[in-house]
Amino acid sequence: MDRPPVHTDEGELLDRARSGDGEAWRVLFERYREVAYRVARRVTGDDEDALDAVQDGFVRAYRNLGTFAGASSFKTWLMRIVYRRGIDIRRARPKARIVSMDQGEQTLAPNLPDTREGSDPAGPADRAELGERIARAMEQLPADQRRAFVLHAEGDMTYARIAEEQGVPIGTIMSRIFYARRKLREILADETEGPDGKTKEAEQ
Amino acid sequence: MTRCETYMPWLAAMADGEIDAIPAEVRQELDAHLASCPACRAELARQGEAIDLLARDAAPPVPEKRWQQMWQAVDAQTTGRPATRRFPLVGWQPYGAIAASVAVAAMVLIGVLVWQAAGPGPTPGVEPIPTYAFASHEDADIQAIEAADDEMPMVITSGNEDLMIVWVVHDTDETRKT
Repeated sequence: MDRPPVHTDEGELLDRARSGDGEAWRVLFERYREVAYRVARRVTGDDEDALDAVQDGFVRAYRNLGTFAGASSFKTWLMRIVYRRGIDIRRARPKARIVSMDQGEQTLAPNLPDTREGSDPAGPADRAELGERIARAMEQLPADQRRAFVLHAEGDMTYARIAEEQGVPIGTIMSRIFYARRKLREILADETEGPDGKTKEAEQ
Repeated sequence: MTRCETYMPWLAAMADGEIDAIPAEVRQELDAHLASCPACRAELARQGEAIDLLARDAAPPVPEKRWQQMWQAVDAQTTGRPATRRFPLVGWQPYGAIAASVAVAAMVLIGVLVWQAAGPGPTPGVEPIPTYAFASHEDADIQAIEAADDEMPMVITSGNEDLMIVWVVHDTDETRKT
């Protein structure tokens, strides 16, 4: 079935969505669902939790469209909502589930297969473990660094856009991303390498 | 702060290829510094390693069917949601509305009379409501959304791609709210 032509002007789409136009809201959903998923996944460390955060994020964003003044872009505003939901969902997650992922248990939902060919030789369970390790390392970062880092790395936002969003100079954002990345690398390297510098995989 | 530390934030921009974010005069200085500083070159390489490490955990593609399922749930709670009334109206509504209006007007009148009798000074024992609660917090707007939107309904989806049923369960139990 052919859909009517899509208006790409965001302001118009938002106005239409505010007045209850489902098609306009659907265009915005389809435009930002992927990037929202990447942002949520980086903070939750889990595919299904990330999808929950995206769904909640879109619902909350819609219900609060009236408060969105347009000072930032809609994408920036939406990413903040989804990011926040991701953090809350991770905090609320039972610790037992995180432990089970450490033990290599496959917890990915069966309806979310990895369909890439040859790009994931480690398999979904190992990938889930890496995602969880990164999310856990992320929790050790100062909040400002973590948010700047995630919005840049997964939200496809430039330094300038993040600086505008956070109301700080662009140099501050560079600094936050630099130190976030350095710290993440240290944490993950410490986890991967044994005391003598050998990787855990090599020791097994 | 050592000279190297002053350059470090710029290394993030270099590793990300955000060269335009670096002012031209800094870029020249940075290039010259990197040529003579093995420590900063190593730091730049480590930034690249961190980027590669995260790339190994790229998000798997979400099947279109799963997105459609999510859209149905989102739609059911937003634009697809039938208009609902927060307070159900009942048969005696015209009389009830009039009675409620009279009651509100009477309460306002009593309030004004009491206020005039007591004078304009602060009421003892009543703390003013703080207005700065979120003012200094960077997530103020998002926290406001969280606070205002604490009635997220539970959504249950069932069925298959031919017939998808989305249940939206609203919690109307006022006694559970604190």
